[in-house]
Amino acid sequence: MNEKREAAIVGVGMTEFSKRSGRSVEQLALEAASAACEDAGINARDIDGIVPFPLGPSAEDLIAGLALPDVRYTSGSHMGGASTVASLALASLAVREGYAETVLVFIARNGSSGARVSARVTTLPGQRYRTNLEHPFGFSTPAQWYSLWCQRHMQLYGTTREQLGRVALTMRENAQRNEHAQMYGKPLTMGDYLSGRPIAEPYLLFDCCIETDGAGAVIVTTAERARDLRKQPVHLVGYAEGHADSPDDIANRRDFFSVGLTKAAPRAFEMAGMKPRDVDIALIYDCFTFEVIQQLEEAGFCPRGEGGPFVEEGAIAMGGSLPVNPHGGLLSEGHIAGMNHIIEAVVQLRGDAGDRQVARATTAAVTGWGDMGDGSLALLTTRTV
Amino acid sequence: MESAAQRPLPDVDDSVLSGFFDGTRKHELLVQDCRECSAVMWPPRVKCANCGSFSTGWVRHHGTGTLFSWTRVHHAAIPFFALKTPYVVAVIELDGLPVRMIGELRVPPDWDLAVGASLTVSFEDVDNRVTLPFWMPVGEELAT
Repeated sequence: MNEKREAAIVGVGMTEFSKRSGRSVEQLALEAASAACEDAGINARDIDGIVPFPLGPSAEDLIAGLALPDVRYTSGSHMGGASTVASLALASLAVREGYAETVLVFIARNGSSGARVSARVTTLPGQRYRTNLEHPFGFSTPAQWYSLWCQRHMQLYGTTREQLGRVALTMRENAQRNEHAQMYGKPLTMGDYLSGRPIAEPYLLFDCCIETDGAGAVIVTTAERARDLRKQPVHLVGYAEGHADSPDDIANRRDFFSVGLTKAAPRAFEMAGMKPRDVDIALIYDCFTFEVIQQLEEAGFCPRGEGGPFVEEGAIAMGGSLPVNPHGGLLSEGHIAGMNHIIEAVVQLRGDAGDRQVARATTAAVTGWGDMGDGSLALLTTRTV
Repeated sequence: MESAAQRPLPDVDDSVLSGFFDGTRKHELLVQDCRECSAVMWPPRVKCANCGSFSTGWVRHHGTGTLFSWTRVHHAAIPFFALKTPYVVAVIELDGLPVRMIGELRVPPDWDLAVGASLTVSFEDVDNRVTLPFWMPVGEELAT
């Protein structure tokens, strides 16, 4: 029987998060990549595989910037924000196959001072529909698109504004234990949340994630090589991507709340031989508050329609049955398309999270979300197999 | 200077959508159908999602539907719409068809929106080539 080489994350690195980095995205990428190599205890020249985010610096920009002598594997996911988590699969497949040994996965953006979300959404599928059937009616931003799910969910299942607010408050509270977070030192009350200006109802200001200048990178290698390196390896034991029906249009989906994650989650759990109840921490792609509720449901952490009460009873808070985003998430730490969620999962599973450490956490689930509901899920663990 | 912001207009010659805009120009609401298996599709596509045929056409709908979901927009990225906030974008489920269209829902500001509300289409000629559909609650169109 062939022994499958497992993949493991052995290094993580991030720049600071800010509204204005004052640096190019290329520089941010190189800083994050260098930090990840240092964290792993490897020389950058060992990198022989690169998986970049679909927007921003390319693999070859990093080959050039890091002066890498021989990169033999590059690939990329094209699912908007879901690409970071999906890229863990692309890196894992390469190292497990022996096609590359040390793969860098990264993202760098000046998402606050540079290309903000309205500039980033022009690469979506279905531009014909956006331009001809939606823009003429003033429908053009992710907040507007995703609010359609939130609105109907509130109508059908009775999900409340206070439950959405509970997500926002939980993320903001978590950020108060994370000096790296853009919202560190900026607590949020329910009164603040409820009086936030409306963006695209039901979404108010604090239902929406922040924009960030910053970069993040992880190093993926084989579990075997990981044993010789500096930090406790975190094993990638399950991963999958999924695309909604159809990926280029939300309105006509027969099963309206079903998204890419709905398809990806069962595949990832089956691959890992795990169930949602085996997960100690969930890192959920929180582009908007409601998307946390929707992803908790679609990934199987609670039944569809019950995400609101699940959140309301405190399940997702630190100390709850399923802590979500101890770092504050996209809502309160910063938005680098969930690479920070992958990194937080690794830090937590290593036991290095300090004040925000989730006790006895050995298994984390990380979701990805992008475009019109593309999805991905990765399962990370320090449990020995 | 008076606002130069214009409503972004569709490309009415788009290869997949031109038939729809030929219909709106005649104040007809058309949806795409498949000439082989008769499936109705929205949004219109290059080939039938049901049987794979490239042979598609258009069929007329009487223009009523129900409110499936919506958002009331207060922050618009498109300059023309930044002047119109708040406005409502709706998903309208056509009566009797598995078709849900995105559209602008014209309602009085205090109108109580609810899933299932009955809606009807009307058409506005923007210029001599472009006519756009708009939606209103049944009964409201009589008030204008």
